[in-house]
Amino acid sequence: MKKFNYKIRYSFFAILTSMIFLASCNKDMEEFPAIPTPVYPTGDGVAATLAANPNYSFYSAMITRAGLTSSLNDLTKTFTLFATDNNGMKLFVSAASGGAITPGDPDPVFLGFISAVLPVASAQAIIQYNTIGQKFTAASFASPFPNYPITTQIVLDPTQPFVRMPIFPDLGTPYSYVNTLPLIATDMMAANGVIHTTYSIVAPLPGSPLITLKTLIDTSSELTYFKAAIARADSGQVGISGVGPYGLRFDSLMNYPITNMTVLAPNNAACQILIFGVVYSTLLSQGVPMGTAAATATAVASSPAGFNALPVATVRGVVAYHILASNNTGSYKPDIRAFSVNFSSAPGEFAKTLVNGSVAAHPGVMAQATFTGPFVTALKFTGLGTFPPGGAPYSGPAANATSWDKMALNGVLHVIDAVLLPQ
Amino acid sequence: MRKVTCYLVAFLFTNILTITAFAQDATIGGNVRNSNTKEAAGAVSITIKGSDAGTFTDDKGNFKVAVKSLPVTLLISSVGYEMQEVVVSGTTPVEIEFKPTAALGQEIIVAANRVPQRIMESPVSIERVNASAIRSSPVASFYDVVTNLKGVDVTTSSLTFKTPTTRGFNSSGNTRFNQLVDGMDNQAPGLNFSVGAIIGLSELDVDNIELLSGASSALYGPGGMNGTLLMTSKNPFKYQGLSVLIKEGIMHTDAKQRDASAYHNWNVRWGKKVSEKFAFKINMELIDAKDWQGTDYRNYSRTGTTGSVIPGDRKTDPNYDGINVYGDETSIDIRAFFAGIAAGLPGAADFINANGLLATPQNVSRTGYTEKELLNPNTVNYKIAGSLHYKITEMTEAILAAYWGTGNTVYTGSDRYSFKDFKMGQYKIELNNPNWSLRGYTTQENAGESYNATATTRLFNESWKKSVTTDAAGNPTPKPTDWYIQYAFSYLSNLMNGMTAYDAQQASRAYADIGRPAAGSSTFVNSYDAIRKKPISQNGGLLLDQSDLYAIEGNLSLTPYTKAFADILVGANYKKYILNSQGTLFADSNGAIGLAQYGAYIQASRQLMNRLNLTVSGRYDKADNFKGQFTPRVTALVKVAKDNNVRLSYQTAYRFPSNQQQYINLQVGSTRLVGSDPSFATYLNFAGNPLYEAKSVLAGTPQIYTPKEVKPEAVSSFELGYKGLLMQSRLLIDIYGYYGQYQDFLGRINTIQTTTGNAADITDPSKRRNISVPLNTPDKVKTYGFGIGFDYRLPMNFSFAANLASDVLKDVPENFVAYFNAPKYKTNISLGNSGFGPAKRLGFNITYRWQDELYYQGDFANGNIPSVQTVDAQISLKFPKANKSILKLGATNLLNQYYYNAVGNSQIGGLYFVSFGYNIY
Repeated sequence: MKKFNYKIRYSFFAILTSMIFLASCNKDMEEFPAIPTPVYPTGDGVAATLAANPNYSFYSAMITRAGLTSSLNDLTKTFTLFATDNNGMKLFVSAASGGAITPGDPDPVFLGFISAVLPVASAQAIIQYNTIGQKFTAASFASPFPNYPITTQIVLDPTQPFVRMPIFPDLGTPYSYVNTLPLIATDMMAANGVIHTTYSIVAPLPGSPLITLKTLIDTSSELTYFKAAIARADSGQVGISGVGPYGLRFDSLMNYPITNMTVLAPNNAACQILIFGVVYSTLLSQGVPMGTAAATATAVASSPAGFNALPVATVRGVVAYHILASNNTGSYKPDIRAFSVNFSSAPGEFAKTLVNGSVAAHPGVMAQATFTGPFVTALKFTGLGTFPPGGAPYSGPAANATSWDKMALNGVLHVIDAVLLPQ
Repeated sequence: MRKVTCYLVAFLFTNILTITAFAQDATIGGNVRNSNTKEAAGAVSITIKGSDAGTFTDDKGNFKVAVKSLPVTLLISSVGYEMQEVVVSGTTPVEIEFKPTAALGQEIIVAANRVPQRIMESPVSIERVNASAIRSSPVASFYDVVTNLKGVDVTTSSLTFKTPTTRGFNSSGNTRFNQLVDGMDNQAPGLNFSVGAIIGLSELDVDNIELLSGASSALYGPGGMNGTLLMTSKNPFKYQGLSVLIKEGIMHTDAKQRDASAYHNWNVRWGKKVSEKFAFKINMELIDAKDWQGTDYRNYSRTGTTGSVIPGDRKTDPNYDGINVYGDETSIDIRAFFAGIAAGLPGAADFINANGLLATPQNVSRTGYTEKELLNPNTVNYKIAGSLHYKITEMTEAILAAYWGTGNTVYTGSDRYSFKDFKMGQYKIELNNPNWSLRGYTTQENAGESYNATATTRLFNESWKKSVTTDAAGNPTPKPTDWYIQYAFSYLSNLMNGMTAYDAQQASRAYADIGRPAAGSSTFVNSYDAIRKKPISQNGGLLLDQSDLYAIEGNLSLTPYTKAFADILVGANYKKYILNSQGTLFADSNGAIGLAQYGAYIQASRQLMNRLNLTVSGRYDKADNFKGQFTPRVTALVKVAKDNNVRLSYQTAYRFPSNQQQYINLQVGSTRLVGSDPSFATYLNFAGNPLYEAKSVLAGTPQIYTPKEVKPEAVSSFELGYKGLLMQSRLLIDIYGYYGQYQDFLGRINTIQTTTGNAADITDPSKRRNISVPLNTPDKVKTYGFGIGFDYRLPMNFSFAANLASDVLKDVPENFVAYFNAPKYKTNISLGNSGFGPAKRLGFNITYRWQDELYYQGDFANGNIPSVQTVDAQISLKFPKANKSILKLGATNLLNQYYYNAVGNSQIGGLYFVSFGYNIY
């Protein structure tokens, strides 16, 4: 019996030990591999990379002047920076100094200007405008017409900090551009981004003081007729508070800062021809003698108010035909900014206009730029219609741009010497 | 129904007042003591041989019984003792030495056939736990003892809310498992399941617990698809005296969930036999503790009521939805905001596209609060019950009983619910006779301040800061002050600043969360309380469930008249549910919903050739809204040797769709759960605005889903078992194997409907809503399994028990959510001693439990549950001279190895307690 007791005791001890041992290894709940968190790079940031390159010492000095060195070297962030080398900076400084400094001056002169004279706010604005918060190698810029707009570090509305000033790289052949300036080198890699070199400084858009397309048109003495045409086209239309984000008024559209438009603005002479022609042909069709008709038409065309003699729908159609558009979002909207360099040098290339919003199949406006090297030396547009009406399409004389790439915050304006007619 | 109750009360009192005592000639008495320990033996049956007359010893072992003449032979019996016969010739008190026995299998069970029989002769699998087993079990609450029974799975929602089942299909709140307390259906009428032991018996009043495994509708009616648990209280005629049990314990000792906290469990029972005809009892129990917590902060991908655990956390996944984090179920694809920006802002489109912000869903969730921050940690359970017992005749006893309880606990349904001040009362009047019984009872439920923690927290987030402002028609009208606008704008801005997506997410969330009230702050508490106290129907979280159940049932044994042919038992019942949630749970905004069920059964059993006992049962039930159901049962018990029986049974069970499955109308997360009642089809215009299968919509190929009429779910089960006593009755072996087949399995399907009525909008996430509707799966689901148990009585009062069970689900159709939730294998091993050491006053028990890993499926969350191992242990010291006092030191989950058995449920740690019981027997 005693032996049995021992057996029992040992058995029980073994059982108890086993129980405790077994129960001491409960598994934790099933876990999954952790989702990786960012591993930040090491090395030189964008600012440090430039600082290490003597060809960019002027630009580096401007970064220092702007107080953005640490920001651009932040390795937790990623940037694309459009910078210019010392040659480009010399062009910029020369212009910024009003010609007081010339490209032939010694480097310390430039450095002195950048470090002491260039307003800090200007330096900040330039660098912020040329900085994108994402890494875009040159190859990653898509090449749609007219360019690849992307937001910069300039915040336009602090209450909505994603509302930012755009910059417009354009990957092309043989030249690539940022806005209107050619890129002369690409893909200088930094630990936290990439640097592309522009011919000179790409100036921010005129956001402060604010210049809109409406501002440009209203303050241009050669566009008083075009301003009147817009007013005539807007007759009876609802403004900014009306339907849609811009209302239905061209005037409101062109004054809304957050648009991105290309306006082909006929100068006064071109508009006078249009008014004359329409009034004259109308009077003739009414049986008015040619002399009387010509005199009357001349009188009407002598004033921008002459547009009031034209039907609203006609003027509206004409104005719409002078605003380029895209259907990137499924319907034609005035949301492209075509600088002169973005137009093709080849003949027969078309750009869509707001007329396509009503007539989707309309071929648009034929545009052609003439380049000398990377720079545009001539720009012309041809409408579908002819003046007087009835001629062969696109066979008449083109409307030549008398000036181009007039910058507004919300678009670009090219002044042309003839009115384009959509039909 | 109230009329019926009144009639029953009147009938009872008429009997009490008019029936007089039977004349007796002499009174004999004496005292019964344990021959080993000399301890008074209470609740021992004293029966006068050759008659039905008898009594029980009181808590001091004393008894008195009137006899017509002397001498008489007394039959002395009690579980755990050898039956004795004592001849009494005079009125001098007799001293009886009652000899304990180590023989097993002596218990009498009732549940198997609704008639008393030895457990060895049960024709179906049954487990029984008596008061003695509870006393020696290393559990903190008597209900936990069920956990260690063979083949039982338990889902633990909280300290006080555990849901057992057998043979699979377990969940927090099991609608396939019946729980009867003193014959009453213990389910909360509005919930359709029993809330553990929150309402019912208190520990000192438990006489026994019987567990029928598997299908059991044939005798107990609809619902017992997976088993029936019957708890029976102590009769005050038998169990008398004042008993007190005080348990004081400690939990959270490792401070893993919260600081160490106390566990209080106080029980008092007083039973008094006033006379041979009248007895009463009153008992109460209080549990007060800091509850276990749901601390599963893993990420969850939710689609309607299905989903899975996925990688990621609050930092790495902007759409993080923590399982036990609430409020973060609100999720929106913020691409719409980016698309708007891209369309109108020069330069933004290309930046947005370059960052892929429009290419794939950009789902972002609101910031949530953890369960720990939200739920009141105090779990309190207070129960009080009492009954009056009157013997109308020697054999007929009338009982008037009331059970009432209230408690705070946590429940996991489709969301996580805090049951706060939940109350339920059960009141019955009953007449009992060995040959018949009649019982009327009612269950009165009051959800108190119970609320949906998930919904409340989401609404709290909305009250603090709107996700997206909408107009009266529900169309988005975003404002800069909206959380998602702030997040999306900030996120885009941060990306434009050059941040990584990860950093931008953190910064944007921090920005949108500026001013977010900290949990526990006065701002938080005031606002949160205001929402949780507002009814769900009024955009709050409060559940206003005051549903009731009224029931009457009777059983009659025809055996006295049919004995020559067979033992025949018949019975019938009627139930009436009154669903009243005031629109917070059911579609009952316009008034309470009445639902009636009635049924009847007949059972015949016959002994054949002295070796075979054949029992045939049949039951018919009818419920409002559904056709009648017939459930047969056939059992056979073959006696292969003395105390060695082979059992064979074919059982069926079914359940009508629960009240919730018929009438629920509840928004859960992004999904509305609706019932099967045809009124929903009209209300939601399924005919004019069809439902589409959610999966097909999400796959881009919308398929119309037409809800079909929902039918009751049914199961048929075959079982073969053996129960035998070996080794001089010291070894009890119980083995079973079963095979079950479910058909018309009740489940849900996630559908999507447009909010506009325009079919084309089904592809537009902003113009559609999720609706979950009940359905019967056309596929048959099969289960099979086995169980084997050994119970061995060793010398010197040692006992060893072990069991192993297995449940398997088979032929599950692809994508079918069965909610089986049973581990393939589970085992319990226990070792104990009821008396060793000096004067055999020491005792101990240690129980090891292991269950296999399983994949848990629930409406709240799905996921893998690791295998669970626990050790419970207790050591006790008896003070026989202090009126059967016991000091016990015990622990559940001794090694404090946290475990959980349902995704999203509380993590259970160790509970260490010391208890002192006075007059425990």
